[in-house]
Amino acid sequence: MGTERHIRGAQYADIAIALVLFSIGVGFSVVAYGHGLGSLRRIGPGAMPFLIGCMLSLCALACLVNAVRKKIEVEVSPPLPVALIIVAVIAWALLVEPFGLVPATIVLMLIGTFAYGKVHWMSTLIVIAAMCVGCVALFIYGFRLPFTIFGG
Amino acid sequence: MDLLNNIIAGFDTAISPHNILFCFVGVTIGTFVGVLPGLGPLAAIALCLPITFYLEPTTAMIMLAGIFYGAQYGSSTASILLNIPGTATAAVTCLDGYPMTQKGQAGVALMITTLSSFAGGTMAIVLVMGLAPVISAFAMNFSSADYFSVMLLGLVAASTLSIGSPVKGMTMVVAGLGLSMIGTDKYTGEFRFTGGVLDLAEGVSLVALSIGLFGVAEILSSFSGKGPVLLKASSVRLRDMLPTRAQLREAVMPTFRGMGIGSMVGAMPGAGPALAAYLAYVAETQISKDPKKFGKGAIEGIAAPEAANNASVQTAFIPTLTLGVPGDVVVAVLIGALMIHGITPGPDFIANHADIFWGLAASFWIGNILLLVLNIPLIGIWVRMLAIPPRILYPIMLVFVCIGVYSIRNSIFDVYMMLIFGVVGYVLSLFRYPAPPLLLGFVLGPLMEQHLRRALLLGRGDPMTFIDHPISAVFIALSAVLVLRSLPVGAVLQKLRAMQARRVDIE
Repeated sequence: MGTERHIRGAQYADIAIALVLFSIGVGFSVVAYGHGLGSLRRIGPGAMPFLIGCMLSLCALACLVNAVRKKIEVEVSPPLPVALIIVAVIAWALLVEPFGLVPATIVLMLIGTFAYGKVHWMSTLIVIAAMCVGCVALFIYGFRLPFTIFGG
Repeated sequence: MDLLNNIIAGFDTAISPHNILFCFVGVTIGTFVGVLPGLGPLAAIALCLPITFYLEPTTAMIMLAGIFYGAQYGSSTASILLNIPGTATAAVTCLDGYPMTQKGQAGVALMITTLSSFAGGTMAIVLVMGLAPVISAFAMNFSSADYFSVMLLGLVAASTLSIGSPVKGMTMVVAGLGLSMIGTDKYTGEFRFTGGVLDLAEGVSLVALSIGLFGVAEILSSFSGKGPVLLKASSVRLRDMLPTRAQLREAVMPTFRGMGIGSMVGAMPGAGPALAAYLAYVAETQISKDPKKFGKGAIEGIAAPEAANNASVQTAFIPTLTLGVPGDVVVAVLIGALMIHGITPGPDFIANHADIFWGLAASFWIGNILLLVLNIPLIGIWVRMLAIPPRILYPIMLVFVCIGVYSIRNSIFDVYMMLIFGVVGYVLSLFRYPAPPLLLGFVLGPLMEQHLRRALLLGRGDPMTFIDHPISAVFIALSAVLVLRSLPVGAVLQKLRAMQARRVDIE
């Protein structure tokens, strides 16, 4: 029962992806048309994108046909860890400029480790400490990338 | 004589301590990511791109190329020991490599793959050194129409010849072309598809795109596995690795055949090492007097594909450096790296940047020898790498990914772009939309547009110009054949015929 519903959900998603790609293709062509197609001798900035948009729509239609005809099996990652990884990257991006490389790295690695289930505190702390020292040595002192260690 | 002088000069460049060091760093990183399932050479190269901005272009290329071919060596290790391909290329090696492990011959299998990898790689370098200058000279006469068509062929080949659905492959190529159109139009200065976002004026960042698609997407999909596969690391010792004389003899001819197939496939634009390995394996099963032994641990079944994939990654540099048309996505990123250094590969590359070309080609030899040393005596270390739990490995990777993308142009915007591409790439890969063709389309898009415009301008607006140029006509014809072959024309025709027959019956 469960698996069957799973497969049907995947098929709906497959169809949805093809539809999204199709609408992106159409939208792309419309915007490209606005940029001007030019003449054949001197093609405008919109010509190549217009062609690409049309081709994308065509390809997406072909995918749509396949998606409707064939079932697809999908092995999805559990949603919580995926969400945690996304949050971890966003946290790094928010923290690195105002607070510096070390705090951003610590937060990213903590959230990232949580994503993998049970946290082994000892080894996690050692790895995080090593990463902070390593990154500061390698990127700030080694390659002189414009990060601050702490604070903006 | 000129060739000899060039080669000597190349070795002179390649054996400077600085270059050897970075060659070593490159092949070591390559072996590392090759061994680890899920981490590919592309993610590693994308991660190292920011570092190479601080290096000479020659040194940068030596290191990045080292990651590429080093990964081919490493990728067979996990295939043989765990039945999990380290990279997509090594999937074929699982077929006969893992049965050998089950028979207790893991060491021999690892030794044979390393030796045939070395043979395949080094022989292909001879081809690179011999052929690239000739092709370059020939390509000097290429017109814009010819360039457009050869790139078209590359894209079509990449999407239709890869393993998986050709329709989805083509969709991704076109999507990549579309992404490459975002940003400032070179001819008119118009902002295209930026939606008023100033960060997009320079276009989508290649590094954000490739790290997103291959690094982040890989991490996101790492949760779906059945947990980490741990392995008794002590199980492979040097003593167990020595093959018998009969086993060596069995491996020789397949190695040579794999080398030939790999070299040819690699030199074709758009066809990568995965295809080379696959074709070499199929060829072996066809030639063999005893096809039944394949899949049960046949030496031929690992020697041929390993020789083929290593040969193909070397010859992939031929179209890249002579035409500026990458033979593989990984090489496409290498082109991106060269462009960041202000060098555009093309027919005049070997003439204008002789030091880079010959230094790089010579470094391939050195890299292959280093890999031999890394892979035979030190195999135990790489095997132990397989035991690093993902909860430690992936957060570390995530940090490197963020730092790498940010540091390219100190842009938080790029980090968010990477995240978006990562999520999109993850969803698309779930539904078997292959990511490599997208990246290839992204790299080739601007070049194709440039040549399309120039060709039409020179051809006075006549689209027939693409067929009037004989070289271009050949490429267009080949592309058309590939597209038609991948369409389910045969099946549709049969159905139509059946319907017609039925209609006749009713009448």
